[in-house]
Amino acid sequence: MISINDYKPITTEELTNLTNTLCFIGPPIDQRGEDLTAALNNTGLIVQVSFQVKEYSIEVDGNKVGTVGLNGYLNNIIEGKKFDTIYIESTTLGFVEVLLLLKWFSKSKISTLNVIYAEPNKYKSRTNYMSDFGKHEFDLSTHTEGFKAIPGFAKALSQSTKSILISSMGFERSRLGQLLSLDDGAYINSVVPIFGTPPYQTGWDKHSYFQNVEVLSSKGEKPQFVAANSPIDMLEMLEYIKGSCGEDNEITLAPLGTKPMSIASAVFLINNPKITLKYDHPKRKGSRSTGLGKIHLYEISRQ
Amino acid sequence: MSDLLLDSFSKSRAEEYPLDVWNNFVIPPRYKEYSRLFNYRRAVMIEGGRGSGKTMFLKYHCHNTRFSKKRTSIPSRELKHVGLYFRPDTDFSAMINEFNFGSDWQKVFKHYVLLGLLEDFANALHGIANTTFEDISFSMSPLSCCTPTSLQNAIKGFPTKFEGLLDFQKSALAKFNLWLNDIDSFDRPQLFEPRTIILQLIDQLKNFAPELNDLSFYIYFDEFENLTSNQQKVINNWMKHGKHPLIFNAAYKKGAKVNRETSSNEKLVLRNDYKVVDLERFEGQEFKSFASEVLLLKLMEEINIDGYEDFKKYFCNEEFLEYRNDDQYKQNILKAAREFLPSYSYPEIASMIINEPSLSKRLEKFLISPTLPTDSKIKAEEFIHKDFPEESLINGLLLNRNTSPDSLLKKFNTLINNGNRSTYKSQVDQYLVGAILWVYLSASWKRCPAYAGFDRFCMLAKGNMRHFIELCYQSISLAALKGINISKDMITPIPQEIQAEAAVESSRLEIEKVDELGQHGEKLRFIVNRLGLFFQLIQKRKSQSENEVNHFSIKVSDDLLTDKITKTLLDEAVIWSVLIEVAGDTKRKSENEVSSKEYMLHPIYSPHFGISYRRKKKFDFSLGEIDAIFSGSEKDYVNLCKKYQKAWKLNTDESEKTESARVIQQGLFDDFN
Repeated sequence: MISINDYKPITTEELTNLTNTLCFIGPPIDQRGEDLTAALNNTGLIVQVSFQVKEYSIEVDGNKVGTVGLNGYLNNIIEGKKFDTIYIESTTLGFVEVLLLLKWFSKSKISTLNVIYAEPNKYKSRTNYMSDFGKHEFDLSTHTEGFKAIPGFAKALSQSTKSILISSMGFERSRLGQLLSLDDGAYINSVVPIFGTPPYQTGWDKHSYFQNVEVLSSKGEKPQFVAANSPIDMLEMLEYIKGSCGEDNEITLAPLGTKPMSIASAVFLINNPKITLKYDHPKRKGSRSTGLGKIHLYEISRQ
Repeated sequence: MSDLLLDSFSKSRAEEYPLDVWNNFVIPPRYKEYSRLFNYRRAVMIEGGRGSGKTMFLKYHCHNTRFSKKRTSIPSRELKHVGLYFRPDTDFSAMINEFNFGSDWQKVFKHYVLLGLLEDFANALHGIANTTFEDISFSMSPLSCCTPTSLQNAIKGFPTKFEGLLDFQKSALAKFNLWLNDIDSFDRPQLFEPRTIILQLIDQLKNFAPELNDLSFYIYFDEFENLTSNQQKVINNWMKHGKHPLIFNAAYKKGAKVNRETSSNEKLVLRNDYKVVDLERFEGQEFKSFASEVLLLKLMEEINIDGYEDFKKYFCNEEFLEYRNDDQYKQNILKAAREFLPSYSYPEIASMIINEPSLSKRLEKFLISPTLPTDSKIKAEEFIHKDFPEESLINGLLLNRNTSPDSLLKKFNTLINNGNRSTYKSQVDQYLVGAILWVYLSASWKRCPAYAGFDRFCMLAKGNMRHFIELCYQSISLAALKGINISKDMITPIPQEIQAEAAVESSRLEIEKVDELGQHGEKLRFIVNRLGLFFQLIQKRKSQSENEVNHFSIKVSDDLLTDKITKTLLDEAVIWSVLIEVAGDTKRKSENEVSSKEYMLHPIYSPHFGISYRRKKKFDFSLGEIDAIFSGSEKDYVNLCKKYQKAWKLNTDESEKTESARVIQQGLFDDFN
């Protein structure tokens, strides 16, 4: 079991002043990522981590490791290294990297670690898909890789029992839409949507309602709301929903919302091995946000 | 009443039905042909677009339906064809590959398939044991049969009796999941090969009772195209070597590139190794009859239709296939469907246009007046006559084709005087629908009644039952919203205006849903919008010399389509039935170097764009133009539209300002303002 104990705001100056750290970071794709990696650069040991779903491999400092065997590999590379605190810089890391690192942590002997996340200052305006042609990029490598399970978080489901999908809601309707369309009612019976309200900034949540309202029209259950930047709030909500579902119900989880909500989803999945992950591996595009907003530090500990 | 009826029509996916679809599955018109294929002891591949009824078809052939409690009498011959259903969980299957499991991946995949099949096998056996057959009876329940000792010895925990099979499957599934959850920490469970195990189980049952001598299982893999190519190859091996009493079959989207390879050098060969059931192959009026039966079955769940009580039992019963082919029967069902979804004929719509001042003004002010010289003594209204609405509309088009107003008026006046419509006949036949669409497209506040009616809904659905049911659902839903009381004792016709609005709404919803169609869904949605707007631009031409354009070909041979993105997206669009691929007119190929294939924008999208749903004229795109639509930037697309806007003299004053596609969409009729 792991738990999220606390969260507090932190500044880039405070990050720069850290010492003796072990930082897991990903490739920066926007301003906030660059600011954070620059701040952490001289604080201690830096390990670059990046997951490639096409070949199910994780690049750790340039070396390819399989999803199976990652824990042993990480144990080896930190053996004998000196550090006081571990940081996972989740702004530059994708959801799967955060998930796999937290899973490793849950199996390790380390007692606590910190997760850093920086909000953007501004998101680019969203595409009006019925009439807007301009913001669409005709590059097949953009968007997502499609829904593909991750070893350790996947489960063979019985054909006779259908599951409840809990989904944190993001800006793009196509993500949940594709999941439901792909499933076509075969394994998913109903969807419990969780919206990030209040959002980072006033009005940002409006778009996810508009985008998803029709997708949810047939299978959507009562919507739930958690603060978009609070993994503690989200984790409580996930536990609450699980508790209200009953023991025999199959639960699947699609973390399609904000990163803090996804961090809570990762913790929840690790603590509840019976719950299945549904994830579509979006390509992260730097141009989607600008600037550096609030920075959060979440403390996670092993019990 | 409306709520109950809406419930019945809201189920447009097989997944929304239980596994037992007895009395809910309307036997398709070509069923006799298909059922012959099932007697042939080789694999059958079931093809069809999204929403064509593949899953429903499979469910009808699987044990839950065949041994249904709803059946009054079940013959023992059903035991020769026990269907098991397996729909792989796509994202779970995607994980089973060499990267994650090394050389063991095939064993893991086969074990996953076995666990799925074993569950359905055990359920099927319970179904058989609980069935009272009309011609046989078991002295002992097959569930009490001992399992093969070979399996009991080889597999830890394997049950001694068949009745324990389901519990064994559950525990094996739990063990498998435990291992998958933490591969590093848990030992790999024993992994089994499906055929070896299932064949042994079948053999044991055959020896158990003489009634089970002919027992045979047919496995149906649904959504086969969603498995990885290597996984398909594993199943292809089973199909290649499938024989009585275990035959493997698959269903997939038509047009999907499924692997036909096996692990040996021998590919699966059509006819030798498999036969194909094409669920979207309808000839003549077949789809209409089929759709009317589906409509009536759903209506009759809630509504009593006088004189039709017996019909309900024909739809879902194979024994009445011949009877359903009878002309009188067909006329009866079509009559009822048309009564529920009435339509206006095209001449009626023409007459409505001429009699509705706001619409006849479109004709007079924007089609006729601008063509008359300013000093002309002829008045625009002279080309319009209430007794000759069709010809009046045609006049509007002809005047835009450099026809002399004097000579046309002379011809029209002759018609008015002698009433002989033959002089206009061929033009009315050819251009009336284009003219009607032009008028309604220019009057965006009015819904075009040409989209209403049972027959038109069939054309919009184009062989796709899900689209047809959705159109009915939207119509009933809108009718309920508008306070129309649907009677329980007779057919209540849905007004044409409501149907037309429902068609536009269904169309809009379908376009919104395009981005859910596969990995490239978002791109496909843009393509639908771009093509739709381009065809709308053509529909705006006042001359309508190229009328009802909604499909295209490419001016090169197909293998020259080298842009990878365009090619991929074109293939995807066909797989998801966003575009319908049709064999082109090969005679024209040599003349114009036009591709041998033609692609039609699915007619379900037509009402949203105000274009035709009939396959009439096509547009030949150059390679560069098709790339601009499929993979070009907004600027490329806008430039393409501007080029034709200019050539067709559309929005001439505005064209210079057309910098974004949004302007193209919003400014469609700027020249009227």
